[in-house]
Formats: sequence, structure tokens, C-alpha cells
Amino acid sequence: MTQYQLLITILILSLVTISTRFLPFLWFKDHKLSPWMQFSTKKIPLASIGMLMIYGFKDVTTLSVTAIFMQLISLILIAIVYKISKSTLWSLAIGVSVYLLVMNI
Amino acid sequence: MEKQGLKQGIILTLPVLAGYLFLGASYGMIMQSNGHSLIITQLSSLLIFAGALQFAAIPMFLGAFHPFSAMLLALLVNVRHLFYGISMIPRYTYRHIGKFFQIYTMADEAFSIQSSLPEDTSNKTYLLIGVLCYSYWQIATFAGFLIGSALIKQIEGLDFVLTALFFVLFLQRWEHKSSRTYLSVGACATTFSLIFLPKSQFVLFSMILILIVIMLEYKSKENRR
Repeated sequence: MTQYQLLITILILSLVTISTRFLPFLWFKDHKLSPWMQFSTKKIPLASIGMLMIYGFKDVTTLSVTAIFMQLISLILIAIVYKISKSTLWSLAIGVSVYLLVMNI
Repeated sequence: MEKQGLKQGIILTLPVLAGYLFLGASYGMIMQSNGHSLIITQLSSLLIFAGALQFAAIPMFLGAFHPFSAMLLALLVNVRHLFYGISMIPRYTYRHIGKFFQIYTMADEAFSIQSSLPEDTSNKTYLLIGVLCYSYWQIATFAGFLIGSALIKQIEGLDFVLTALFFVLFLQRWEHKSSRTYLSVGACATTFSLIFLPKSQFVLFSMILILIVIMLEYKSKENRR
């Protein structure tokens, strides 16, 4: 690829990405939401968080067995700390620290 | 007041800072070692600002020029933004340039944090979270390109912080019993697709599954009426 073609490729990737982000906002700008849309806009945010949670594990098969096992342990730890403290930041800090410590020692 | 808002924004995005520093620096380093210029590398982060896509496009940058495959790749990797957009319509209520940047910076991480905030959160906060995440990504790309991210690369597994972030924000939502059904629908549909479909298509397929489930529930509610 020449520099010029590389730049065009980046612009294409950028424009498509921008479209995926802007499309819902442009589409529903003047439309009144139909009852079906009103219903689904209540469900989609929750389903998206469920989707994103699993999406975070999409490359898990490229990890070592130790890393997968340690991720599992630290996720359990995060869940426990969250249950007790109700603090997202604390549970993350503790869970991720344990994972990083074990993986880097 | 302003200063306090900034502080709150930084605290909220701390896990993203850690994850982005690692991933963004890795991206800068890979681009540099593949012989790309700083301008191309930084432009890619500035204009695309979608980590998963930027990494997926690395082999493409080294191959022949295929504008159509580039389009398809970007669409398949980023189609999930449609769901984020639909979710944020009632929340992003700025006008003009403010709203433009709210939407422009709506990546996985910004969305996951913003949508976990109370409904009455100010537009300024949403914008700040987006802009902070965007800035972290730019700084990390730049630093990775310059220093070859030798330091950051040595910490193994730091990208796990983003996986953990999505997990804990999921747990936070799980506390509300009424939210559990659709959190599960999203998680199950995506797990199913991830196992049974090629990695390039699983997101699109899980979105379709989710829409089918929503449609079925809607139809059954309508029939009962």
C-alpha cells in the first residue's frame, strides 16, 4: 500500500466507525419513537452491557491456562469485594492487582 | 466546582486510563515496528478511535489496498455501536459541537461507564468521560510509538483491567432484579455467538439474537392486551 492508499484506508475505517456511532442519533432525530422502539430502547442498554461483558472475553482462547485460571480467580474476587463494599473502584483495584501480581512475579 | 467535576471524571475513568495506556502503547509500538510513520499511527488513533478495529486492521495496513474489505471489516467490528447509540439517545442532550464529541468519543469503555451513571447525570459529565477516554488513547498511542512501550509492555496482562471493568459494571446492573433478564439475554446471546460463529461475525449475530428476543417479548405483551 502506498502512503496515499494507507491514508484512504484510515479514512474509510474512520468514516464507517463514525457512521456506526452517529446513525442512531440521526435516524431518530425527527422520528417520534414508535411503541416498539420505545420498548426496545428500554431493553437494549441492558442487553448491551451483557454483550459487552462477554465481548471482553473474546480473546480468552489466546491466553495461557494460568492466565485464564487467574482471571477466573480474580473475577470471583471482584464479585465478592463488590458484594461487600458495593464499590466498583475498590473491587476492580483489588481484583486486578491480584491478577497483575501473580502474572508478573 | 469545575475542578471537582474533572476530579470525579478522572476517578470514574481510572480503569480506562490503565487499560488504554497499555493497549494504546501496544498499538503505537506495533505500528512503529511495522514501519509506519508517527503521522499515520496518530491519525489512525485520532480518526478511528476504536481499539478493536485498529488492532484488527494492522494486517490490512501491510497488505494490498482493498477499500471494500476495509469497509466491511469496520462495519463488522463496530456494528455494536448502533446499540450504544440507541441506549444513549435519551442521555446525550447537548446540542451542536458538544453532542458531536459525545457521540464521536462513544467507545465501549466510555459507553459502559456513562450508561452506569444515574439518568439525571449532566451532559458535561458524559462529555468529560468521552473526552478523557479519547485523550488517554491519544497519549498512549503517541508514547507507545516514541518509547517503543518497552516499559509498559513488561507488565503482563494489564489489558485485563478493561475486561474486569465491563464485568464489574455488569455486576452493578445485576443488583437490580428487574435488570437481570436482559443482562442475561445479552450475555447468553453473545456467549452463544462467540462459541458457534467465526470471530468476525459474532457481534452482529448476537445483536440479531437480542433483537429477536426483544421482539418476541414485545409481541407476547401485545397479544395479551
